[in-house]
Amino acid sequence: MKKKWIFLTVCLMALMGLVGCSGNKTQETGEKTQAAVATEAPVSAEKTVRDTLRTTQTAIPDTCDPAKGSGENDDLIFVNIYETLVYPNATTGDAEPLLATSWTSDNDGLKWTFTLRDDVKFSDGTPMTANDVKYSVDRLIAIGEGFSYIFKDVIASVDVVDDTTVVFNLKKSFGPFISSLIKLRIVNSTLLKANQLDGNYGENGDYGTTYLLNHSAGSGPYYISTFNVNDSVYLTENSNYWGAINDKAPKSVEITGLLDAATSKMLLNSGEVDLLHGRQVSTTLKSLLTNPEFATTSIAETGMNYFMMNTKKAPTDDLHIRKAISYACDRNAMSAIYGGMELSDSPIPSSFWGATDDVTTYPYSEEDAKKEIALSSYANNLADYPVEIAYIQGNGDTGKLAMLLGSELEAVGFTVKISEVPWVLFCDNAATVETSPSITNANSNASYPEAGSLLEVKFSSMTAGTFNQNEWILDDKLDAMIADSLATVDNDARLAKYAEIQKYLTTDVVPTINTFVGAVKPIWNTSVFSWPAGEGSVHVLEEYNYYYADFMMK
Amino acid sequence: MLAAYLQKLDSDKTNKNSRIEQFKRNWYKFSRNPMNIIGLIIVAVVIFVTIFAKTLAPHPEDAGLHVDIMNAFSKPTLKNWAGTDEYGRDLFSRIIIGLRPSMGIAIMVLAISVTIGVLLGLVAGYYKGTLIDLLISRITELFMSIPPLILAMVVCTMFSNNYFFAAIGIAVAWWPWYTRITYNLVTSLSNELFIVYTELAGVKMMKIIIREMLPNITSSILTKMTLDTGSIILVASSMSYVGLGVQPPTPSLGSMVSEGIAYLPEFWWLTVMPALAVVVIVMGFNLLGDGLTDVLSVEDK
Amino acid sequence: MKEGLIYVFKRFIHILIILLVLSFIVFSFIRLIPGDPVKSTLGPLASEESVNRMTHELYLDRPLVVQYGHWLKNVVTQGDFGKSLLTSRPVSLDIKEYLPRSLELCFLSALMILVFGVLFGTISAVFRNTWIDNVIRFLTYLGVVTPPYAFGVLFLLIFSYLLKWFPIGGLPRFSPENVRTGMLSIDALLMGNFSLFIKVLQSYFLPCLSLAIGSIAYQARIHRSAMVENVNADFIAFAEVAGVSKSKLIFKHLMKPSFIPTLTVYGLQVASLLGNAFIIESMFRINGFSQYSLNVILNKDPYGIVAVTFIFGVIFAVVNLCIDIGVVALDPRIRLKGAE
Repeated sequence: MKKKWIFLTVCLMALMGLVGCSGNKTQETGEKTQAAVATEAPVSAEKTVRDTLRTTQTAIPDTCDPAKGSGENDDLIFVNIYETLVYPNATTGDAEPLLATSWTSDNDGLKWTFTLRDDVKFSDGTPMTANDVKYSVDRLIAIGEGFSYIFKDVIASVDVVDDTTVVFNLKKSFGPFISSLIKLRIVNSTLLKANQLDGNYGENGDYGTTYLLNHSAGSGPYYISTFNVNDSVYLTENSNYWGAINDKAPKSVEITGLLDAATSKMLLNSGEVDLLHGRQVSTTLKSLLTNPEFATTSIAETGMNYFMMNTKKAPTDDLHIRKAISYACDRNAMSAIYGGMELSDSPIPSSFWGATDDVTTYPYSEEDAKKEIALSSYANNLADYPVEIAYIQGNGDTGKLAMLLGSELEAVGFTVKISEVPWVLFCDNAATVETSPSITNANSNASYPEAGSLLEVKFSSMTAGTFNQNEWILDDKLDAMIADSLATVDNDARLAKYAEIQKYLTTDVVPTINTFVGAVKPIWNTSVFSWPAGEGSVHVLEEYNYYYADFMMK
Repeated sequence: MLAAYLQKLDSDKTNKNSRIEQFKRNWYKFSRNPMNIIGLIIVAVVIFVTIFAKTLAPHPEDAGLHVDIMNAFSKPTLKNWAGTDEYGRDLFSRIIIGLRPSMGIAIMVLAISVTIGVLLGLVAGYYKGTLIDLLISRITELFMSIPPLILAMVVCTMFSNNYFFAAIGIAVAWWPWYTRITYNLVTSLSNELFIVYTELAGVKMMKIIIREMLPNITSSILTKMTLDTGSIILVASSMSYVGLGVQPPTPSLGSMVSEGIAYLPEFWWLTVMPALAVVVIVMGFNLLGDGLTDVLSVEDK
Repeated sequence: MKEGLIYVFKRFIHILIILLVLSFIVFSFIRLIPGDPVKSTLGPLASEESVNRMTHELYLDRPLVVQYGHWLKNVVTQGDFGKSLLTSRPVSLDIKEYLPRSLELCFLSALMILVFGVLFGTISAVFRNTWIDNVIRFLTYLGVVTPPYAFGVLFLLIFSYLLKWFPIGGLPRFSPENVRTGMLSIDALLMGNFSLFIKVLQSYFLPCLSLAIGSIAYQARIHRSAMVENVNADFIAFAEVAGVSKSKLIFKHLMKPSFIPTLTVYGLQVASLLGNAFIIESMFRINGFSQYSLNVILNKDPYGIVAVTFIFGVIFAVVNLCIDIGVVALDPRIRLKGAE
């Protein structure tokens, strides 16, 4: 009997507690929201400068280790916490001195000597020396992930001459060597060695990878103060920064992984986020821009959106079919879906060093498409070969592009199947010819702003079997051309070779539709901060636009 | 009593009239509650619409690769009863055609899980107390312990993300419930007098199961199936909400809601209409299922 | 008492066996998945050596039995569930981080289900066939048939965005030194920060409600029918004749027996909360266990998947055990199965 009463009372108390709580909440929130605004966001009330910037990316990577990440979301964080020997010029992308003050090469570009700044300190106060550079290179190559692919076949060894002089010995000549150094991030070897655990790398233990899971070890204007895997990253201003940071730059930056359109919209509208990174669908953008405090801009990516046609699978293994699909694709309409994007005839964005304007791609024409189909070996039985168009789930408006291409292909006689594929499955499918769809839509980006980088990661055999290359080109001639161009140190000769490759791709191989030059359209609250990209000076490399030390809080 | 029962066993045919009588009685009971009738009508309409979706839809081409950007985001009008979506496709047609995969998944899941579930339940009940019983109940427990959505997701990512594997995935998680309900019914029935008598009379156990137990549990199973149809449609819509199952451009109710959320609150009909459709359909099946439960459980007493 | 202990022990052994079998099945299934999880995790540009190194490190290049044995040995001897491909951390660390938040979410939801479910069910039964009953029954019907994500969106839009009563998803952030249990409300109390505690509850309110509302409705219906059934029972008639007051009748004689079906259903509802939470978690930006399990599954992270199914199995078993014990506590006539 007693037990029952105890049980009942507990129940009742729990109930009252809950009702009480929710009652309190509704009453309290009125004050609370005001209080919250007063403490967290004084900007609207008192016009004092707020020093925390709250921004978003499409996702937060699982680690901010410069030897591991190579995606957009990694780079956006890297540029703020790590620095490189050279810095890409904002308008031309040419390498300029950063951690290195000068460099010389001899021996046909096989030996590069760098003189380093002597006043650089890492965020923990340790001065940077040539040893850190050597450690960073060794570490990147040993771990073998991220951007190591650029350097692993190029750099033979790094020699430390003295604290401020370091020599890179190359295995082979590599034309874009200096440009590519923007992906070689210098880490604090003292700090990582102090936090080294047992691991796979011999005397280097785990190379500090465990430590870097939630810390940073760089010399950039910010360092990671809190890292929540797949959720959020907090950056704090580096008080030991060797360079100048403007006074109005945010003292801390909260970066949240956020893609969901509805939540993004609500958060920006209610002032809980100041900047949306820029992969919103166009309608989200439109509806947010009805608020006069919000503004948007367009930041070009270092790559393009491509429809990649599988050259090893029927029916797209036929050159005429690939040409037909290229003719059937209305790129202007696709650009319109995105609210106007830059089109490019070459598979390389025209802003790139090495892009040629000497090629023309296939203009939209249903008739020409039908003519090409008639010329192909599938002219009579095209219906037996359904064309699968796959796109990545949650990748902005790319679904609309796939849908549009699908309806255009149906109009000229193809049987089309569209599939929206989760990212991991998309990568898995790309692994073999059989599972690779006939056509995929994805964005591919260069590592450094030069045609060679994009040609290599998009069209050389190196990336066949990855989402970067659904085409399975596997063309020895093309591979040789790309390798040859990259090995050419002379700039003019390299330019000519790049142009040659682009021509070959556009006329002889036709593996790809160059939909348009990729761009992100960030949207931000102009009453909270201003930033260079918002004032019209957009950096050629997307990630450098999100260099928070250049932001000015209002 | 034993003799009377044995007589009944032999003269099933003479029961035909009394069965019609019973049906009439049940129908009367059923039809007295207007909720039951509403449920029945909704279910009938849903089934009808599912079968003739392509003919009934005002714009059947909108279920496929039809893009009409000029007509995008039109409010519900006389031309487009439920408005149009971001591609300018008629939402009403898409909802109607979107019923198909939902119903298809429900039917597949039920077919698979009822077959496996009832069979295993009968076997376990038949061999009650033996190792087979133990094994089957452990396996049942094993599958019950993983949430159905998670299990379905595993299947979809492991094999192929389409509507067939979505159904398989849900079925894998669903059958244990049928095993459990059959097992409970069989074990409770085997204590009933008439079964005990039949057993005493030397009738083979297999025959008892098939001729006596199976008909006796059908009504419970059928009721559960009706109620489950609603739940499966909900689960399937949750799966398509996260992009598993039916692939675009084929419409499915869950993915329509999840895609529509991006356009809230301005283009509310993109979310509200398909969500409303889910609510109405599931409600229809629940009303009908509850009505059946009422009528049949009273009959049991 | 002794019987009870033996029962719990037996159940424990059963759970253990189930978990062992389950983990083996999952391991062998992961082998069947097409596509190399290591390759897709390391990205398209990773060198072959690093892929091989990682594959070797994760025992994926050895026979299934060896891999399973190695894993089992580490679990038993060191409590080490292997390394997650997704987060590059030990899986146990991940679980320690994500699980408490989700458990908290589910616990609060379970509380809501019990309290509101029983409350509405009782009201409905007490005012049987009046307008109050009809309104409640209609609402519970709506609650059962509406998908949880629809509630989530609705609540987020109305209560968070338009009325600003609750935050738009997300949880209050704690500095690492204040995270002791991982359950934010408890951590807030341990810090002695009561306003933070209220803030935590406020953040949890809408996700919990969205997650629980379907079950609340279902629970209310079950409880109502259980009570209505008991109203017609003989012992109630006797009690009425004996002159027991109405409130005493309801709370003493009706409530207790009605709790048995309620509790059984409640157990199933609670056990399924965690698995169903992922849409709600992502909608309200709660970086919890359901989200994590979705991610490990989508990324085919072998040790992650095994650990996740393990946890689900344990939770299901524990909840069921509690319910069985609870039912026995309510009705001494029912004996624990297998206790004899």
